[in-house]
Amino acid sequence: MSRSLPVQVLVIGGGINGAGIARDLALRGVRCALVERRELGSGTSWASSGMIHGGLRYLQQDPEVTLHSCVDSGAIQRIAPHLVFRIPFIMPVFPEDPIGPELVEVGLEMYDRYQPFKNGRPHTRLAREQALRLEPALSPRIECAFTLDEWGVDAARLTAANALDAAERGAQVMTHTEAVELLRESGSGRVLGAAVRDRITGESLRIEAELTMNATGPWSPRLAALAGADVRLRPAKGIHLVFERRVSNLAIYARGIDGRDMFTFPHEQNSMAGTTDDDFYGDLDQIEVSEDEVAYVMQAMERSIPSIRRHRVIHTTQGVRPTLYGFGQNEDELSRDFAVIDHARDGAPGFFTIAGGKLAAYRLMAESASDRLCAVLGVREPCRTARTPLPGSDAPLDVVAVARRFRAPVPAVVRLGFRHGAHAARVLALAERGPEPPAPRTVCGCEPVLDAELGHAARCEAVRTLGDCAFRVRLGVGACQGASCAPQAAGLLADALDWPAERAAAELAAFAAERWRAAAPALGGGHLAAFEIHRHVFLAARGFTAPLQQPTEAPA
Amino acid sequence: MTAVVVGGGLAGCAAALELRERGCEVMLVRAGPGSTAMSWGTLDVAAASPLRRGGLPLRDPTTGRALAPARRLLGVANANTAHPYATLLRSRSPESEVKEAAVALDGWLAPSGLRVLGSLEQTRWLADLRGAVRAADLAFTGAGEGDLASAVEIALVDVPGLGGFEARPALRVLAAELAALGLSRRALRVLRLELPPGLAALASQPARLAAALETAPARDALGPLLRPLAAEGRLLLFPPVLGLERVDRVLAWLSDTTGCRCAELLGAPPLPLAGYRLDRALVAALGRAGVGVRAGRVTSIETEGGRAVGVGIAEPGAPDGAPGAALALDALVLASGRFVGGGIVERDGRLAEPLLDLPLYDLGGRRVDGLAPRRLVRRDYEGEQPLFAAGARTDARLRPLGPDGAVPLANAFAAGDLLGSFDPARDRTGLGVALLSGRRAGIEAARC
Repeated sequence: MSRSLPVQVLVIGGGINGAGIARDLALRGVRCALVERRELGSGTSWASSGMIHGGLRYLQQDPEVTLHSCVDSGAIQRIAPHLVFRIPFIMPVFPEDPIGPELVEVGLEMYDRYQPFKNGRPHTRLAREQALRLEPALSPRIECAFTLDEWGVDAARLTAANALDAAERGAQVMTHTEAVELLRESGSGRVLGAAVRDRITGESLRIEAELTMNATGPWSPRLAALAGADVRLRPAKGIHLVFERRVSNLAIYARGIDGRDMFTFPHEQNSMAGTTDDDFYGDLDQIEVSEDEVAYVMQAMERSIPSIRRHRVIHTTQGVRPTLYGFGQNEDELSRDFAVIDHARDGAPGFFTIAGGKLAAYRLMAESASDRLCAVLGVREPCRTARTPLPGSDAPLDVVAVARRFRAPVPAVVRLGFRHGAHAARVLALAERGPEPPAPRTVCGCEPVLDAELGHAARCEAVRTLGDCAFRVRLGVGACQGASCAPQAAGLLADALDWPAERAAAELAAFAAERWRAAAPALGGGHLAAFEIHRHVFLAARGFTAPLQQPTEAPA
Repeated sequence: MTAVVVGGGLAGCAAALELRERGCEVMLVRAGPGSTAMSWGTLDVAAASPLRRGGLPLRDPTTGRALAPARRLLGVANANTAHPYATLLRSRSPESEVKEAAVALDGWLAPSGLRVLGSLEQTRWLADLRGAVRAADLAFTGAGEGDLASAVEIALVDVPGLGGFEARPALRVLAAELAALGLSRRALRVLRLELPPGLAALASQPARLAAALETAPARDALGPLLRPLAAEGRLLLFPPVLGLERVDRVLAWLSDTTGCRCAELLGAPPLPLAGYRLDRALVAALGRAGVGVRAGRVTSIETEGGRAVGVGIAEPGAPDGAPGAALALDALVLASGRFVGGGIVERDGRLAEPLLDLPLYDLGGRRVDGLAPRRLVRRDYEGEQPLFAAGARTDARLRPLGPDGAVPLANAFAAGDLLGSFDPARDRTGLGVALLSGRRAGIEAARC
């Protein structure tokens, strides 16, 4: 007989939507549980461009989406200023482009009207020479260029911040926990929660909920089917290439051979390039990046940035958007709008699905979904997420003072501030022991990841696997892909989470396999040498106690 | 007679030194430290692997007893007839071949304080930074003194503030490893060594800490703190930062001060000092022997009537296509490595050997040059990966073979990681192949 946990709302899916809903509900005093099959934000959220933007793209066919996104971008900046960063974009215009500078400028002038909602600056038009001076990576073939303003965010961190704040406010957040069955009331078919299984310990739990929210993104049709309910999506796959360093000062628009807009943009120490948008019919648990996709993105980038092939692609991201269903349109033209579906219509009252949408509008979507749930529950509390700061953003961080106090390298504290806001000091203080504690150590040099941040993730943020740290802490997602940091990080986690040797070795092997999966599709150039070393390190470090089978959480 | 050696890792250096011993004029062209400089402190002629497939077995399947490295070595050639060992050990006794090579290498390195320890008779059980145990054979001064089997008590020395090493979890891993290997009846502990203030400031810069340990002031400050670590029969295992130039002297001082056997843990990135020291010692050996060393990258090989007659060299950092220097030669040894060394590159999206456009083969003998790297990767990272077994094939004299299976250049030889059909990360024979094939290539080249 498994344990049971009574709540008002069970949210299934720990991506940005599920985490946003859990926080929204928790802020209204609703008792809720959030279960995530893997790590928070490790699916579509991780694979997103991490752009809190309005979507210039959607202006023509979906101005509502642009408006929502811009307004909500402003709200996200208000509640989590430390997590978002300004991304100035440069949009080159080539002589052969079908739309000349004048028409482009008309579009940008329209977009300028939305900029105040998200604290963006109006566009500027640059002559060729000005543009090349500002961004030397640009192709000299351009006719002229425009600048516009967008905002970026670490989507996985934003997801974790929402979920952690929800937990802080009473929500039960369970990662690596899978909903295996929906509990039904016989006769009425009402959904009464779910039976969930911890994929690491194997333990089962019955979560008894008045309402159940399916926030599993592209997986939502699969979960809905457990209740005999129908969710129609038109899932669309998107990939990004991640470069070892920043390939340009600014984010740069690029055009694919089919005329699609893409861009490269700075993210942490890296640049990312993408994204694609292709109908997806495959296995959601085995999303592969194809040679064609890599070539397609590179081709587009090369037109704007001729030197792009000299830069090393260190890994790819791949994910599937839970786009709302539409027939007879190109993927790009599909609405980015969202829907909250009440499955009472399918004979499954008490069960809801949230589908569609964009990262930039996550808060608004969560508000809308929570409003629906609260109406059913009879909860009168209004939504507070547009005003209530996420943890760490309630006070400024004095980087220099904190760095001095903890003897931490300033760049590492800057980075911690970007991820934890004013709580950076708390993260560093946790590791402090004794009167003269050693200074925090840099575990990964690709981005300065400190031992203190890993320890904090394990002890205070309920990280459960080494692989979780790639998403939560960005461990091993830089140029080394874990070769210089994962063995030590496995030790730190083993210490904090009391792992036996076999577990630590298995975690390390799974981490290496996951980095391999992410890097292999675009492997080439200097990265061949990096992975020759990588493989030596991980195969040599595995030892004789490691089980030969991958642990359950490893990718197949 | 003038020979040119391309590549300055263990394979290239061994070839150059053998050529020199045979009276040849030798110029070694080296673009920079290669994968030898990333090695962990062992030589690994035939280290056992915990991997079930592809690695060398630890135990005899019938008796269950640990195999002597020499037996594993024999098994390599039987399991994979395309392995470089199969060529190198054909009609030779592996034991005497390896022994001879180890003696030669020891002679080259000893003036730098690096000795080659161990033999093929017995497995040498060495611990790495994570606490995982390597079933090694030959190892260098530093890690080589750390054989776990002969210790009564093992202490990991924790140096607070030093990156890359977590002593407590390492101890736990080590305990499990020893138990799994049947070596468990040893007392294990972590001992904390607080660095004095001047040295503690260097803890985040391991190379500087290593250099400081070679100086008298550091030793004077550290000496009193070391004495409490001493105990009868204790093996003290330190993180691999015991000196940048002369690990032997730091070890001797540590042993004198503590009265214990002292050694380093095997270490890779981010603490690759063992590889660095090996690289330095090899370069020093080249200098002593009178091998010319030139920094730069060989960009072209000039041929004439089925022989290599010269190489073109680009200075370090020279832009692509810049005019470089040329060297005439009578014999050529290619020891340019795999991807780290630049012996195999991706060119226009395809794998290629850039100097002679040699055909490349994977473990199964399939041609892989001209294929995109991603065509040569498999999902199982620890399993067979054709990409990482790619390399050239040779005749019995180590002359690389052309696409038709014939020798295109009568006076060109290949050694080290450039040789294909073996996967050093899996079978752990990397430096063993480098040493044996490098020496053989040098000996053969000297006969040109």
